[in-house]
Amino acid sequence: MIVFCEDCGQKNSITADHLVQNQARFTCTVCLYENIQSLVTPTRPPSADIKSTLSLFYQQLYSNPNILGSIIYHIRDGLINHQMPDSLNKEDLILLAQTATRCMSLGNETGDDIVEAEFSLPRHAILVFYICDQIYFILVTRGCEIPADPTGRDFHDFFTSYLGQIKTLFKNANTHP
Amino acid sequence: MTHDFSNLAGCIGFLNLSKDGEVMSTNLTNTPPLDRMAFEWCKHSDHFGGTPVRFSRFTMKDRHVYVFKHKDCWTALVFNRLLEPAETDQLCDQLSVD
Repeated sequence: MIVFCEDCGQKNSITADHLVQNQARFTCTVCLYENIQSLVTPTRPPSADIKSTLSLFYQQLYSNPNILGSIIYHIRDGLINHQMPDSLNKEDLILLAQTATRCMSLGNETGDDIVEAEFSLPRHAILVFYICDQIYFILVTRGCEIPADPTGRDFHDFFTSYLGQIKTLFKNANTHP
Repeated sequence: MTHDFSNLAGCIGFLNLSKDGEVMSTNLTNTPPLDRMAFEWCKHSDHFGGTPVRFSRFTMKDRHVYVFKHKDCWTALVFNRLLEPAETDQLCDQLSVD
């Protein structure tokens, strides 16, 4: 499992031995800071601007019947927002998001950051998009392929155009909270 | 296990990895760090919450790395374009028989 040091931000790899009562307890390999990080964290509410843009985005996104749900996830802070079926509880969502984002952080050592990942399962596809500053957007589809939009729009064009706006809003929110 | 990927449009290269992460065959000249990355991806994206993954894709700026699982080894294919669903289906069928 990949976790980030709260003090210096360095990526650290930990094992099950470091997990104690829903907390990751580890010493950063670089700055030696003693980290105690909760694995189940409160949801951070989005700002008004982000909420408004997301609302419009979700409205168009979910007009596609092949979209099952989505999650906005921060590596350290946990769930920011989600539109997933009620059958999944918060711990399930966090586990899903952790699994989905873990592989993307593994590619950073090349300097060519991974901006998008896809996991094709027998009944679903899980798409992961990097937004900024450890924030990821996770999309779950019905069926194992990226869905074609019934209106004929190219799904990637539609999605990346909104993703650009969402990235800008999140970056601004982080700079001027 | 031998496959010819040269007929796949946009295929830059391939990398066959053993279950231990050893490079069994490749036509890539700059294998590291792709072999290490691919091995990590293979290990971590093999199953998703207990569900086996058909394939996984990791997209960088201009490269798309597709990872397919065999019985006990993996193949990573590097493309300069996104594959169509029919193409990934075909690769899943083709590679899963090994």
